[in-house]
Amino acid sequence: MNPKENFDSNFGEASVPASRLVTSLASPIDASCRVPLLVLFSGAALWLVVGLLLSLAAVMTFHKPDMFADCPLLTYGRVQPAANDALLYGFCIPAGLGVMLWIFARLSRAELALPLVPVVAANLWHFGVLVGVVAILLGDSTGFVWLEFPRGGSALLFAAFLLIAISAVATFGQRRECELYPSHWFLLAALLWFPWIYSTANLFLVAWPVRGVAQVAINSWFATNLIFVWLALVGLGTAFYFLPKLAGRPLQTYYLALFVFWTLILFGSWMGITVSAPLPAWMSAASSVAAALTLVPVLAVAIITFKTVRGVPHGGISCKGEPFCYIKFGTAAFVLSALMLIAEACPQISRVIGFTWFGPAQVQLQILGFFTVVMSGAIHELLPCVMGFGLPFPKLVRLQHWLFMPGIVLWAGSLAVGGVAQGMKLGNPQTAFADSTAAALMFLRVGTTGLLFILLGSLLFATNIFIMTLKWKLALFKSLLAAFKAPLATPSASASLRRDRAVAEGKGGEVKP
Amino acid sequence: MRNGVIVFIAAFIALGVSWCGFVLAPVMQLGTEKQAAVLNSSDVYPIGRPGEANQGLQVYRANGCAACHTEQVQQSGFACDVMITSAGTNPPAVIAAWWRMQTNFFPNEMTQRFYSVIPNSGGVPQFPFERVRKEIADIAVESFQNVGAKAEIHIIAIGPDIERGWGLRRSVAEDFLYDQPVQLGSLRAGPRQRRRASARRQLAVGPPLRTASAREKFHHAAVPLSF
Repeated sequence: MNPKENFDSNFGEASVPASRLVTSLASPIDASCRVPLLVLFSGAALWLVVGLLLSLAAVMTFHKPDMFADCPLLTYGRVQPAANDALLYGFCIPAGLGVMLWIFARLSRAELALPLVPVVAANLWHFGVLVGVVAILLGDSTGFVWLEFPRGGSALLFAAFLLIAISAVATFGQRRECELYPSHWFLLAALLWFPWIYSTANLFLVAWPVRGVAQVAINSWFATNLIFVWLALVGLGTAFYFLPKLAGRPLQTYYLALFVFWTLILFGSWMGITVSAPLPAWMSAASSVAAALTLVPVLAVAIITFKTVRGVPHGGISCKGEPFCYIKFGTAAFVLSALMLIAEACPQISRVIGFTWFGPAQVQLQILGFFTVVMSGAIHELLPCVMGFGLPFPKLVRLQHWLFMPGIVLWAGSLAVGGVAQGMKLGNPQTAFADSTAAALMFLRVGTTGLLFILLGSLLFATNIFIMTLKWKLALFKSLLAAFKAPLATPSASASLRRDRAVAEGKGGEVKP
Repeated sequence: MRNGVIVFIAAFIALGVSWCGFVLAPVMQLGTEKQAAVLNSSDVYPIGRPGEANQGLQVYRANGCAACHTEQVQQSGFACDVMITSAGTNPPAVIAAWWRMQTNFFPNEMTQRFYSVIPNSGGVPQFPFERVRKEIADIAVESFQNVGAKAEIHIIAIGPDIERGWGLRRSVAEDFLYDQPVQLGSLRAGPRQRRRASARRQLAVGPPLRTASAREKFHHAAVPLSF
């Protein structure tokens, strides 16, 4: 938390004027976010654990194929999409939205607008995810990658997202500074991005399906725009807020960030159509060109992060596992996963690694290595401010980092290497097909250890959030109880009661008369 | 950028352009696809699935089979087979022409894979050159015609998938016209693949050699995996 204090004083020196990043420690702003964020984050933490457990159940198929053979609910083909969707829709998106609401409120120097709306929406969202995940496990998936939720679940998610977006835009509209900070661009674009791609995909694929392989084009477009572009917009928007804040020096630089924003949304949104897809050749050609051009924003993100982090006294490089390390590691994982995605779009490389575990490795790195790590870092950093008291187990934050980091390297790394090994054999028709799948098997088994590490880390994360929620609820309950027990009071007594309750809620005793 | 509206418009334009490219254009280009008549026959391709296969597709969807299996056949290029349809009046000259080209172009190997001969021709091979480049096939056909034989070129798709017998050519858009949902799959982690092939693309590039059923009834062994 130290860099925060000297942040404003350091800030004016370099390329971003202080006015562009508004930081305020005023607690009413944080307190206004409290309930919505708690609902969003506690649900998200639960889905993170559930998603990783499902992932583990899925990967167990490769250890012991007959383990769930008699249980259709846990068939690989059902558990795997359920796990992916629980991670993406259950954890990534609500966590991203929560962090986004807080950043908007902070940057606007205003309390969260319509705070009740995101609370309702968050409950709606998590209920929608529950409906979707259960439906997938029961065999009611739509069959489209990353869009497996049936109509009911999708409709709930869409409505919930719009409600949260309304609150976010209203908070954005309250801002006192006209000038926008780079995080604003990324997060605002993400608010537009999701409803557009989600409604398009659901309308064209599920509600009124188009014919034939046009479905494939739309599904690929949706998946890339969600997994690559949307996660990048929110993750980078968050990283560009926290990196300078925690490093205590301005973002290097404003104009490079602007460049990243433009090139990312222009080129990134065209990626995703593979060379092998049975689609007209111009589509995969356009996608490959876009992938090559996306190299530009990806390298620019690496430069921004490196330059922003480099000059930090006491450890731009060295890391003890605090939120700053999370954000640094997450950004590095983004650069790596984006490079993997770009490599997949190159026809020569895709001939080897197409249809192998390399693709899932990239997705896991993007979702777990980049987004989950950045979000958990951000949540660890902002939650104490929002709640008004520290994390119950601050040491677990470091422990979680040291579980996540090797876990992700092991999990995504072994999948990627296994994918290359599998692809080498797949490309040689003299090798039996079973040999190619067996080549990846060893790596999958090694990778499972990594997945276990990540699961343990997520349990620590959930523990911190749940104990925190519990503490807050207890305090609230106590204050309510006190109010209930208190005798009908004179005006002065009721004022002191309100003060007590405000203290219990962590508002620091500020009471309006 | 000073203004939220500008950011909004920027994102709107960027996403709108890609929406036009990868949503609107495919719907316009591929959404109106129709059955095509197969050349030299009264067949059309593709034809809808029979009821049982349609149910199979729903089993495939419900159990997420596409998580491990793909329905796509990849192709890395093409090669030519030269087929002699008639040995003509002077079979020894045809054999001599074949042998001359064989020693010229492929001194170290025979390019035949099927050693079938044309009946009553004194040993004229039916497929003198297989899996050769287009230029060589053109020269061969010309030389055979010069000595009175009739020859033609068959274009063959090549690639690891095709050599494994998963299909005769790469998958094309028409193959999936009646699938709902279309589930191509992106990972080959399981041992079985559904095979798809059709006569149509074959006919577009040359007479059919080996035809496969356009639809193979879907069935799937319980759950993974035999390795």
